[in-house]
Amino acid sequence: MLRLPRLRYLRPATAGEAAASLSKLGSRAMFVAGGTDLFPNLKRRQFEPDTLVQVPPLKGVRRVDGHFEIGATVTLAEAAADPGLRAALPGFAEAAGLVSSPPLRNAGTVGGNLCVDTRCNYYNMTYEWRKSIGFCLKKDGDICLVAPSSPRCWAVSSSDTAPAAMVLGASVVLVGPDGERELPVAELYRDDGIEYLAKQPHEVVTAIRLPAPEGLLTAYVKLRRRGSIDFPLAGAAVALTLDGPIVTGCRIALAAVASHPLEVPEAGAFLAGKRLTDETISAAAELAAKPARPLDNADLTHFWRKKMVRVIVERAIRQAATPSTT
Amino acid sequence: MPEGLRTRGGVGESIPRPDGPDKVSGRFSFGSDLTAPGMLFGKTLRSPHPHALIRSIDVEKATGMPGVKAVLTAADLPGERLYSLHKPPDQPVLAAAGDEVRYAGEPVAIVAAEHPEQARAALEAIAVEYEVLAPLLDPVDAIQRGSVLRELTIRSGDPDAVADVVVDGYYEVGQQDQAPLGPEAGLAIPTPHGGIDLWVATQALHVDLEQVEACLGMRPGAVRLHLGGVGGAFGAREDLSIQVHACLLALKARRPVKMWYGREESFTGHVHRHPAWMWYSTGADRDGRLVFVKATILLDGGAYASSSGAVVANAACFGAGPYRVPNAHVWSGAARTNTVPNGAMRGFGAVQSCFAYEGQMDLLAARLGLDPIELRLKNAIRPGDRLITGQALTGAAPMAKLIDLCQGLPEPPAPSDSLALPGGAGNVASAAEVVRGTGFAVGFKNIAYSEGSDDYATARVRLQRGPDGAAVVQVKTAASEVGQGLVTVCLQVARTELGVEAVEIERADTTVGDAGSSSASRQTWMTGGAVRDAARLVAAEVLKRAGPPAQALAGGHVLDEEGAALAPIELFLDEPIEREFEHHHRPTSGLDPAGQGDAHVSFMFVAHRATVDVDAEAGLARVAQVATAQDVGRAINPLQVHGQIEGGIAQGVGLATMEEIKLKDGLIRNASFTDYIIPTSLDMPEVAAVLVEEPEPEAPYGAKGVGEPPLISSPAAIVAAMRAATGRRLNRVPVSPEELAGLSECRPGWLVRPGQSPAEAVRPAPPL
Ligand SMILES: Cc1cc2nc3c(=O)[nH]c(=O)nc-3n(C[C@H](O)[C@H](O)[C@H](O)COP(=O)(O)OP(=O)(O)OC[C@H]3O[C@@H](n4cnc5c(N)ncnc54)[C@H](O)[C@@H]3O)c2cc1C
Ligand code: SF4
Repeated sequence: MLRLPRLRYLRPATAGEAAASLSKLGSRAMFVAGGTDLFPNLKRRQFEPDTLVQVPPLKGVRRVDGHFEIGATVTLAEAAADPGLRAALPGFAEAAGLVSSPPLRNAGTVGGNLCVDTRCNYYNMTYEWRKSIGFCLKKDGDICLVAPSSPRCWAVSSSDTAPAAMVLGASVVLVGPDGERELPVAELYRDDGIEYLAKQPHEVVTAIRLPAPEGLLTAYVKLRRRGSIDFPLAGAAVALTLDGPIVTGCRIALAAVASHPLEVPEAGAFLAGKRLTDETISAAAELAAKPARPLDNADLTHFWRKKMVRVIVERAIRQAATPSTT
Repeated sequence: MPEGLRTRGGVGESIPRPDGPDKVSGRFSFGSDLTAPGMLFGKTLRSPHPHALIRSIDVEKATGMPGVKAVLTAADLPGERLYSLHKPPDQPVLAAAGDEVRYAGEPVAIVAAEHPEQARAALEAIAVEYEVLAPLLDPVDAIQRGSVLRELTIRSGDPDAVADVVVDGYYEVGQQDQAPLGPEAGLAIPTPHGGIDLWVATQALHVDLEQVEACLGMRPGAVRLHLGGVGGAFGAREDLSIQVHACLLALKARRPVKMWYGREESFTGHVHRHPAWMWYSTGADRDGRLVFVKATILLDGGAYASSSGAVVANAACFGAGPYRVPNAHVWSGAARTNTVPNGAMRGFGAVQSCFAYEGQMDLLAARLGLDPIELRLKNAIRPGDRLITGQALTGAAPMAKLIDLCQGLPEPPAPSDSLALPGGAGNVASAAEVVRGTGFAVGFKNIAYSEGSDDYATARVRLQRGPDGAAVVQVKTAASEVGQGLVTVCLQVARTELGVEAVEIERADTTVGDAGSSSASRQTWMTGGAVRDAARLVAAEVLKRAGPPAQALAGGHVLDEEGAALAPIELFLDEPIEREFEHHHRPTSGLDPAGQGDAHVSFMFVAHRATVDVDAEAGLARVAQVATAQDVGRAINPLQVHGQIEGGIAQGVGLATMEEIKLKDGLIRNASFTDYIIPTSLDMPEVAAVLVEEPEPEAPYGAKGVGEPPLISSPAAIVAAMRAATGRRLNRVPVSPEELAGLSECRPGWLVRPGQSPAEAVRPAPPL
């Protein structure tokens, strides 16, 4: 059986205190929210902190001035079931509702999902397994086992909600020891499998702000083999505005095809000003698939996953445009 | 008979299982829940290499670490150094310095400590020096180098028979894990007199016992095994895992030692279903009557023999399908390679060859322009026919009836909500993208042990007055309840034979005679038979004590010839009655050099029809329904039979669509339930099942086994449905999305003439 290491567990009352503890303890400590990502990783010794700092309760889904503000510890189940979100931003609500499985969505949080560790099937393995094959860059080693000639780690960003938030132009509220700042979700990530977050390690995500303008059409399509539990093999988030049959704005972002949620502005820009037809949709999907670079470090072949990006983007655009048929 | 004199809950009734409520409410104690005061935790150091020479093992540092109470290597073994289900044994209890490790995950040292983390730290501190050797991983390569665990050829009829139409096909079956939810677990407790008690979740207490005694070097009687709560088995618990290790550590530390594997370790801690590579050629006349089947069935046996021998035989004996096949030439064999040993898994060789011969039948139907079901009906084997091994079918063999009934079952409606679509919950498909296909397949397999082994089971039945004075039955066997419902069967049998409803099934242990293994669908017949026969001896004694006109027992009473109550049974129990019986099945014979012989005692037949919705662009599939007709002889408990059918089909869906252990350079790449995926409730199809009850003349109550058939032909039917929906070849299970989407195809890495040994195989010419 895999066991958690011995840990000190702190429960600060406020986000500010949580940030202060982490800034004091440095890399010895980590935040934990629902723990659905972190605990299994700790059991496999993918991280070896000696202290966990609980993110304090930051609850509530509120609508303020055309925005939704979701507290960072709102669970994925709560976000997925929120009637306002479901009506206004079905793409984001769907993405939250498609993460893992019902029990994990009852514990896992929206903040934790945005900060979820990148994945690689050479890395999300037990200590003993990693030791037998030889440790890799992301933990304890000095080469990448997927791309041995590469100086960097290609672990995959697997958050379902991050691309869904990105296409909305969402931002996160960050609290550090010295106060609060707002950062666009698009700037929260770095293209690096190891240092995948651009925020300071001691900054707590306290909320996510999702713009919800009137008439915005959204969808999220998640590719996986089973009806539940699996991480995305690829995901496509779309936000679209239409003037009659003409696209007035479109943003598309992908899950699980790079070390960060990957927005593909070319595809969105291509559709702007065009009529949605089979041809334009498929051309946009083709553009969207281009920068996707899945590697051989997740389930099934990267060849198939790459091919499927076009398919799911196409379907996500259609679903966004015709919400009634989904 | 008046209602009061009927025995309720006997043979044939769908009574609920006695262990059910505890299991679903979390109160049942599984092997991993075992605990004893002062127990230590045992852990295993395993080889990281698939093939290496151990130069040295240094445990000195580990021995002195905090909490560490025992550190053992091969140098400390007191008895036999090798164990196996196979004779002679070939698998080291611990790999020794100076010897080789032959698969990644092979145990090298064991440690017991006060705390699991201390044991883990001690493992880290053991220094093993390896000289890494080249692993032998390709089974054809292995066969060509003479690294063979068993090979077998079956030849019947005319080797030169000529057919009007011939179809050739190549098929692969991936390596499936049994994935029981309870991992390997046990607790060893030394006795004050130098013996040892081992509680363990196993499929066969006495089979384990014999090996444990030998490896501990202990006299008979010093070791006792007790059944720990078993959380599923499916073949994964036939070989030893923690048994000898936990005992060795407990004897050394003189403290109870508990060992249990985590999920990741479990993947290297037990055998798996043999992956298979199969080359087939099937010939028929113009009307579709089979003329010949030629086949080469190559299995990867992994590093040690385990039950490869029996798997090779099953794959061959049933390799032509439940059909009249006048001429056959089948080569079946298992290669010894440097991978985790393969062995028993539900279906046991019959699953692999079924995927191939049923694929062949569909090719043949297409070639002849015949309906695939018609073709199967035309060729269905019938009572009195001979198998390709020359054995005549003397028992029930309702193959044609199964086909008829199965095809008549209602088909499922079109998917009504998006969750029921392929990739459903992910919003991937809409109804417009989905094509439905239907496929059909049949299969068969033996029950119980074969090829001349003396197969028997023992039961002890005691009838006495309970605390309230009423009659109570106690049934004791060493047979493992592994989830299949054996305790319910024993209870029902005892009720039926003794007419007493109060029946206690005692915990299985080795203080009673051998019951054999809970495998090969055999326990209802074997242990059920032993309980019946022991109970009949007890009943005879009651009737003797009662004297004439006593004739029968029912509803708690002794009855006369007319069924009228004479007296309550407890009246005759001043002295308890206890009887023991060993039930043997008819002897079978071995297979001769041409693979001929009456090797099996009985056969179970099954038909499956699958309906699958396919999103052919994305390569995703959702099995909408599996319909089945199964030959059960007699359903001792219809509810449990349906449970076995649903469970077996779940594993069949898994094999057809997703389950496969992936190896990279001999290392398991997906040793976790995140990466080795099994169907969830959302992936489980509707099951429509009909039971065919034609009593098997030789079987107790006419009941055949029921555990394995649901998994034999369900994968073949599901893949046939996918082929129907897409027109693609799909000659490999599990079918990958890539193949289903037509983006790749499985091609043979070697060319083999069907029937030939892969020793003759050559590499195909590279594609132009
Ligand atoms: C079987 C299984 C399947 C899964 N499937 C999916 C899936 O399909 N899609 C998917 O996206 N995820 C999946 N996950 C991962 C995980 O369950 C989710 O991402 C979940 O949303 C994580 O949230 P959490 O609150 O549990 O995060 P935690 O595990 O508590 O934390 C995750 C990371 O985020 C950091 N963190 C958490 N909250 C904050 C905060 N407020 N501020 C700063 N840092 C923070 C933690 O330090 C940690 O590094 C799966 C996990 C499992 C075990
Ligand atoms: S991508 Fe390379 S470095 Fe990163 S986790 Fe995987 S193997 Fe390690």
